[in-house]
Amino acid sequence: MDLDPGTLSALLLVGILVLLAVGVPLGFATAFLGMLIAFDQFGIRGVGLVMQRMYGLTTEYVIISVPLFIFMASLLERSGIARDMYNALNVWLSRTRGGIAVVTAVMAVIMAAMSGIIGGEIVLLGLIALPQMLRLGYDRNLAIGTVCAGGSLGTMIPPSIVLIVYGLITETSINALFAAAVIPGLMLGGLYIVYIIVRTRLQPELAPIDESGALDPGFREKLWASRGLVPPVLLVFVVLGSIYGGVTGITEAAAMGCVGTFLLTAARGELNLTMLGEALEQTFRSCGAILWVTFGATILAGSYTLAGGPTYVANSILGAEFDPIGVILMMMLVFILLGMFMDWVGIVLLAMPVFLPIVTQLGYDPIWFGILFCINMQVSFLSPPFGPAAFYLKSVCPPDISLFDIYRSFWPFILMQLVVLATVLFFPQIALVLV
Amino acid sequence: MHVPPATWYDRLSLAISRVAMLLIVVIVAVMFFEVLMRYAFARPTYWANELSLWLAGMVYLFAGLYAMQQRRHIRITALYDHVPRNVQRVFDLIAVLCIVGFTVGLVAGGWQSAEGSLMRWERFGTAWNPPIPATMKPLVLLVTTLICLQAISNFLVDFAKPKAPKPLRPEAD
Repeated sequence: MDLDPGTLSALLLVGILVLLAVGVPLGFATAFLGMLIAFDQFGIRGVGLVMQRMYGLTTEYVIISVPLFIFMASLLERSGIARDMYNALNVWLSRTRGGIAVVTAVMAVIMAAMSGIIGGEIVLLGLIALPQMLRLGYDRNLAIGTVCAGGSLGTMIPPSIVLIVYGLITETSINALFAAAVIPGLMLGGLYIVYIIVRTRLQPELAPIDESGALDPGFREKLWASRGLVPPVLLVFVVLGSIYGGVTGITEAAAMGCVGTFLLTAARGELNLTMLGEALEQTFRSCGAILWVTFGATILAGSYTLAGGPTYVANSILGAEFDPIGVILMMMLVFILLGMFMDWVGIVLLAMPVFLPIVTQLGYDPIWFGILFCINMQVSFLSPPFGPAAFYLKSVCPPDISLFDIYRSFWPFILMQLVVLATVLFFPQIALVLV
Repeated sequence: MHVPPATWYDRLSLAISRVAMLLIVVIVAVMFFEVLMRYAFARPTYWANELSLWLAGMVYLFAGLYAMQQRRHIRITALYDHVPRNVQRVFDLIAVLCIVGFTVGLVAGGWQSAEGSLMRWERFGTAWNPPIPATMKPLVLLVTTLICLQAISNFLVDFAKPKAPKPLRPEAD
């Protein structure tokens, strides 16, 4: 048939919407449509390219870091390292107003610097910090919001598999993306902490202080309890130190992180075959889900690009001579809307092949755009009805806390994320200064 | 968390997956060895990168089979969850047809190239020169076919059920 790019784009959009709505797995819906486009445009020879694209993806070195970072997080999730870190921070801060919520946020930032994913982090904070806050009578919304928003930082503060996949698809330097994410990531974490402190000062009833009569331990005891901070800081040093110290690339740094976690859990006597088996199963499941969406979207993006689709869309948008910053704002809006219904992998893989040529032709920096995207995905983790952060927490929190309760607690945090998004959008230097 | 096998095909998929997931540990070990040799002994290997690449390719592919058996592939269920069971069955059928259509197209289109690479025992063209194209191209076709058969098996098993299997809690991503 050889459809023109305009008709093809329209049909594709309808096709995607219909297939996704009926619940076809994302990876296979996109792979199938990519296959149809290839056949329409280039016949059976075009279909041959589909296998080539899949094969090409299996030989991308940097993707190896995805299963490895997930494996590291799966091991950490099953270890007591996080609990000890919580205790270490707690002895110092539990006697201040809102202290445990601050501890939770600080812990979230440190854990985010160890791992590149969000699920494990929210589950851990939900198991360790949430019960303590609820026991002391902390405001539920504050407690839940801190756990989920803090836990989501896992993909914002380097390492981050969102940035790895973004870098891979857009062919931008992942090292540069990691550097650019540092300040915006810390800004988010810092803003959460400031919010907790200010809010609990203004409304002390939101965060009662522990008056169970337990004596404040002496300085010596506090210092001794702080040893719980050593393993996490060590792991951060191994992973980020390997990358920024120029010792290894990102992929090997992920492997070093796995080895480090392995040794630490072994030293703590937590490593056994059951634990290792469960961690591997979880890694393998998540890896299959993420990688096959990547396969599908690569196939679709490849066929669509060969058919001239992205150029067509880019030209229509550029030809309409919208205000450049208006175009960027529109894209942010699209990300936020898509983020309400779709997983970040799907968004990065489907939207970027179309959006990125426009962004670069308008003269913007793809690194900066990647950071904006990453902050957008922070919002998507929290936004109803499918914000995954809520589902992660729901699986481990007390049964009387409903999904609705969880989402209701998110809005101040979503607001803060939007503030950081706007700040980085209008002051790109915040991200780019470290690149 | 774990979806137990319902058919002999599930058991086959699980057996394959159990072996394939061990490769993740092997990759970690290979990379660690490489870093150790490079920094502690200043003797980098010439094979570690390509071996990890080769094994990781297998991990990605077989992980898709495991995710299919565990019904863990990412999908949007906003509408699916709110339609009658018979409509869900139709939706499931559409999903299986997409997967079958994709698999048939992939195998038909990629067969010649995969067979060629295998028969020529095409190598990677590097110092170590492992036969990555010769093995991975046919493996792409083989594993996609296995996933497709798993999807059909899931469809037949779920079709008879009065309620659609609930998606389990989402995990690390």
